[in-house]
Parts: sequence; C-alpha cells; structure tokens
Amino acid sequence: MNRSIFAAVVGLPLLFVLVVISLGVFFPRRAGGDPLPVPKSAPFGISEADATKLPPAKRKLWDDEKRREELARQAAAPTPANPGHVLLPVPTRKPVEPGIVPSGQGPLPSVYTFQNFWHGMAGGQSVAAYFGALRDDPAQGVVLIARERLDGKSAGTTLLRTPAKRGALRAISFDGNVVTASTEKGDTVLVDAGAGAFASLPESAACCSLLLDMDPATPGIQATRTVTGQQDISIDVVLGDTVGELGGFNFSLVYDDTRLTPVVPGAGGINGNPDFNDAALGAGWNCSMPGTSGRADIDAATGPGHGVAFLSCFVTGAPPSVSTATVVATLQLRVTATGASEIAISDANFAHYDATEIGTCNPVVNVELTCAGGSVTRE
Amino acid sequence: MERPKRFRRLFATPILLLLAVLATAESVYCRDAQDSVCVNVGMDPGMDQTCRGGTAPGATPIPPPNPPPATATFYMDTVDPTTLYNLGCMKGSVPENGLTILDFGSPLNSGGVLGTLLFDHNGTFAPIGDIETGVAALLRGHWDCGSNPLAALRVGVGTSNYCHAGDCAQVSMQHGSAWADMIDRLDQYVHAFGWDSRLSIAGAIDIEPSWSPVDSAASWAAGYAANTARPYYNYGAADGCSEIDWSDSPCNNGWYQHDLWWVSWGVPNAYAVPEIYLEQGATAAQWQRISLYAASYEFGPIVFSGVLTQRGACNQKGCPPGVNNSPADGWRQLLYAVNSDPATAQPVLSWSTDISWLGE
Repeated sequence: MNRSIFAAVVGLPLLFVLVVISLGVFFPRRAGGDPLPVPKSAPFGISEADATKLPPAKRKLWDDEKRREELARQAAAPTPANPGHVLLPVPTRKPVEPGIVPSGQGPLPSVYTFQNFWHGMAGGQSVAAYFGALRDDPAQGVVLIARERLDGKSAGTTLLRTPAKRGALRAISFDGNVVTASTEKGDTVLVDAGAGAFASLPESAACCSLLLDMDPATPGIQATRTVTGQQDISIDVVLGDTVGELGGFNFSLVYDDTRLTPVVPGAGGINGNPDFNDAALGAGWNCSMPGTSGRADIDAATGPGHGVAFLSCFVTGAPPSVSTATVVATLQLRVTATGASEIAISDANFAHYDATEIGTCNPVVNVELTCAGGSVTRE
Repeated sequence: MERPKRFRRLFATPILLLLAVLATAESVYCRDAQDSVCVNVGMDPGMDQTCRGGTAPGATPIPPPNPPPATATFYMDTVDPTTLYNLGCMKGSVPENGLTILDFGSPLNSGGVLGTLLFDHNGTFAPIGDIETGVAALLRGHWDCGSNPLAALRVGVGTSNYCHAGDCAQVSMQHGSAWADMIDRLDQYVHAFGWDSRLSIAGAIDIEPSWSPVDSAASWAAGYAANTARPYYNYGAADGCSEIDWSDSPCNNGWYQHDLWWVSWGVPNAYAVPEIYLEQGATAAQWQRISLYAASYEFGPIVFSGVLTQRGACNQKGCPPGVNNSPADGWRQLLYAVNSDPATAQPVLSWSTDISWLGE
C-alpha cells in the first residue's frame, strides 16, 4: 500500500518531469518551429502560430475571420436536405460547332503555351486541338488534341510535336476536321484533328538529305553492299537535292572499329579520310579546323560506336550552289569482320555562307536534314 | 511479484512509449549548426541536407512530415447549375477539408458583360452572373449532401491573368471589382442560409508572369481589394523568377519578385497557394525566394496558405517528365523550402489541393 502511494505521489510527478525534460532535450526550439499537425481552425489557411507574423491589416482580417468562424460554429445550422447524396440528372451537352477560338487558354498551362485552338466534332465526340509550343522550349511546336464524349467525360488526349523546331503553331483555317496551322517560321502544317495526326508536315522544315552511298560504282544511292572476304570500300557522303548556296558543314560517320577499319588514318584537312570532294564543291574550302577534321577515327576507344570519322569544312571562296545530289566527301574503310556492319551519320550540320542553318540531324536544331546511314555485309 | 507489475505499469510502459515517440520524432528532422531545419530544396534524397548558413555534418535524408489530404480543384468547363450541384454534393459527402478552387478561366468582357472564357471545347463565354449561379448551386449541393462531419470547404472562385487573344485590357480593375462583388454576394448567400460553419467563399486567381504585364494583374488585384474584404488566393506560378536570388530580381515578362509578392501577399486580402509542380523543387525554391525578398525588403515573409499541384491534370492530359509533383511532394517541397531559412520559416502549411479537369 505504501509502495503504491509512493509510486502515485512521487513516481508520476517524476515521470512528468522526465517527459518535460526529455521533450526539451529532444525537441529544441528552432526559428520557425517544427511543423505541426494541420489545425482545425486556420483562417485563410494561416495557423494561430503564424498569425503572429501577419502585418496589421492582414492580422485584423484574420482576427475577424476567426471570430466569424467561432460564431458560425455556435449558430444553429439547417439540416442537410439530401442526406442520401442523390445526384441530379445532368443534361447532355450539345454537339460542338466547328471553329477556331482566338484564345491560348488550354490544358496544362505550366507545360504548354497555346496560341489558339480549333474545336469540332469527330466520330461523335467533341474534339479540341490546341496549337502552340512547349512552355520551356518555345521552338518546339505542339498540337494537343483532346477528345470528349457528349456527357463531358474525356475520351483521350493526343500530343503531336513538330519534327523540326520551327516555333509555336497557330491554327489559321480549317476544312472539315483538317486544320491548317502555321509555325512562327512561316511553314504550313496540316493537322487531322479527328485522326489525331499530322496530315502534312511543314514543307520547308525538312530541307534536304544526307545519305551514304555504300557502293558508288553502282548508279543511284546504295544503302547496303555485300562484299566477299576482306575488302576496302569507298563510301560516298551525298548531299541532296536542292540545298542552294552552301557555306559550310560538318558531320561524323560512326561505326564499329573492330569490324571496319580505316584504309588510311587520314592526314586531316581537305585531302584526309573522309576526303573532301573539291571536284564537285570547288577548291576554295578549308577542312583543317578543328585538327580532328579529315580523320577516319577520332575516338581512341574501340568497339561499337567508337569508330568515328569526322569532317568539318567551310568555304573560303565563292560558295557553290547545290541543286542536285552531290557527293561532298568519300570515306574509305576496310571490312575486316564477317557479317553486317553499320555506319551511321551523327552531328551533321549544313549551313549557308552567313552561317544560317540549312539542315541538321542527330540532333536536329531547327531544320531537319534527313540523314540515313548504310551497312556493308561481308560474306 | 506485485511490485514489478506495478513498476511496468507505472514507469516502464510510459517510458517505452516515450522512447518510441522520441525515436520517431528524432528521425523526422535534422538540424544544422544554426539550429535550422536542414532541407535540400532540390529534394534529391541523395544530396547533403544543406541549410542556408551551414551544413549539417553527416546529415542524412529524413522522413518528411505528413501532408494534409489534398482537396480536389478543377478547371471548369461548365457553369451548369445541375452539374455544379452534383459536384458540391459529391464534395459534401466525403471528408474533404481545406481549400478547393473552381477555375473558370481567363477574364473576358463580351459586349460589355464581364465573365470568363471557360475551359471547354467551345471557348464558351460565362458571364459572372452565370458563374455566381453555378457556384451557388455547388454550395447548396455541398450543404444538402453534407453528411460527413469532416466536410468543410473554403471555396475559391477562380479566374486568371491570362490575356484573351492577346488583349490584356481584359485583365482589368473593372473585372477584379466585379469578381469581388460576386464573392461578396456568394458570401452573403452562404451566411443567409446558415451554411458558414462548414462553407466559406473566397476569390482566387491564377497569376502567372508570362500571361500578362504586371499592370494588368495588379489592376485586377486592386479592383478586387477595393470592393471586398474577402480574401483571394493566388494559385499561380512564379515563372522565370530566381531560385537563388532574393534582391527583387526579374521574372518573366517584365515582372519582378516584388510584383509577385504584391499580388500574392502585399494586397491586404491576398493570400498565396502557389503552384508547386516541378519535381526537382524549382517552383518551391522560387516562391521561398520571393518570401525571402519580402522578409528582407517588405514587411515580413509570405505566410503560405497551402500548395496547388497538377497531378490530376497530368494524369488526364499527359505531362512531360518533371512537372508532375504529387500533392504530398509539392506540399513537402514548399514546407521544406520555406523552413530552410529562419526568415521565411512557417511551422504550418495548412492546405494542399490538386487541380484536374472537371468531368474526366
């Protein structure tokens, strides 16, 4: 009995003191305090603790709101009239008349910046096609197509990106469900909003092509070639077709240097490997900068992707005009391994004399240069 | 035999409980030499927990505090009273507590009638009178179906500073005044029916620097504040603002940190529920810097009411990587960001709301 009294009189207060001390030790006060549970009453979402930091005008509003909340809690409230949560029948929405709305207000404004949108009906669904660009990459044109049933429920969303970065898209006219849009660069894009796809891409957004002709002795562009035994081959790098005035370019040809090896390392410059085609493009060119230009393998590592032939040239005289498929350089490789060996084009960049872009690939900067590599198979 | 039992009952069990609580609590936060909560604004759990003014030696990632349940906020594609009654009814029948925003779109003056352009496929103009009728129906639906004792909502009736068709005169003082009048009428409506124990009404606006010049948004805010004492919540982004500097540095479109502070907090009845959507924490850092600017150069830091995220909208429409914060992550990012500096610290971040498209 005495022990129980001792425990009650001494032990419990002692425990309380221990708890208080422990809390002081383990929860030291810091500036701002520890986050607390969300309070039941926080006028304007501001807690009692934070209300002390409010400037006078806001504090007065906060105090008024708190009093108001307290009065409201004390007041008699009417009984809910629909405790069974019975929902009312919602009218079906009317079909949408096609048109273009001159507002860029659209889905996910933190992600997209829209210029305007087209709306209409397709397949019994309401369709809206929002035209614009990525907010964080204004050069990347996009179309966001949202479909909705007539009961207001979503029927899916499709995002289209223009292959080349030509700026934001804007709808300018429509014929049925096909919307004509333009890019900031003035290209025209056709979008089939009903199908959720581009009907036609910007004509000028894809300029031209850079292809590998694996067998120059055979007419036309040969993307593949078959050889018997170890053999040296020439690979033409062909620019086509209508390019116009050419002021400079660079590209890399990437291969597996355990399967293909340079016939010669390349001395660099205009007569390296790749060998610049001065017969077609003229003599007024410099291909010696940077120092790796005109070398057949600038990657010291070996293996797939580590054979890298590089050429970078700029015109020093009158720039030539390219209007047909033109060989700009030739690479010579030895096929050392049996089976198929691939060669890819990377970091290709062709520019006018004033350094404006003609086309680029892998990666595309603004205007897409259609690039295609090739392969050689040793039997 | 009796003594050990009593000892366990009186001492051992409470002490074990206490130790368990302390062990949990001790793992919740870490502190640096300045006794600030250590946070990493970038929220990369692999990085050191760095505080402004010091780094906690050996600090390790810490389990975050529990966020409040997120309420549902909507891009509104209709003002149909039946649809909104049903929405209110559904909200009233679940334990949803906090701020919900009904975003009715950008301001528009159509033939002298003020309203908004809804988020529907038609680009429908909704006069303020129709918005008011729709919101009133939502409030009635909420009360009628309000059987859940935890269903208590602050309803923010939202618009934006988006310039319709490039015409920024649409975002006007006149529109702000008319919006305030509508909020006052809805407030009186709630009060007249005796619903204000569980419902309250406020204005709301999605203000984003890229959408209009400062003057337009500031005019709207001034027009609003001149006509009502009811609050409005800015649930916008701070696009282009610094994540590092707080010396009134520039944001997008000619805005400065001061301007965002003014429309979000400087106006007496302005409150901030910023959009915190970037997964790497940049949006939280931007707002913390605006608050630090205010603490340094104005009359104190911003006390944030809550956070808005867009996970629901991303799930509906698809988002590129990196912009898809969950409500909990957005809430934690802002809480950590503001508590990374004693000058902006706030112990409580009350609300979390997540925006999606109505009807989907």
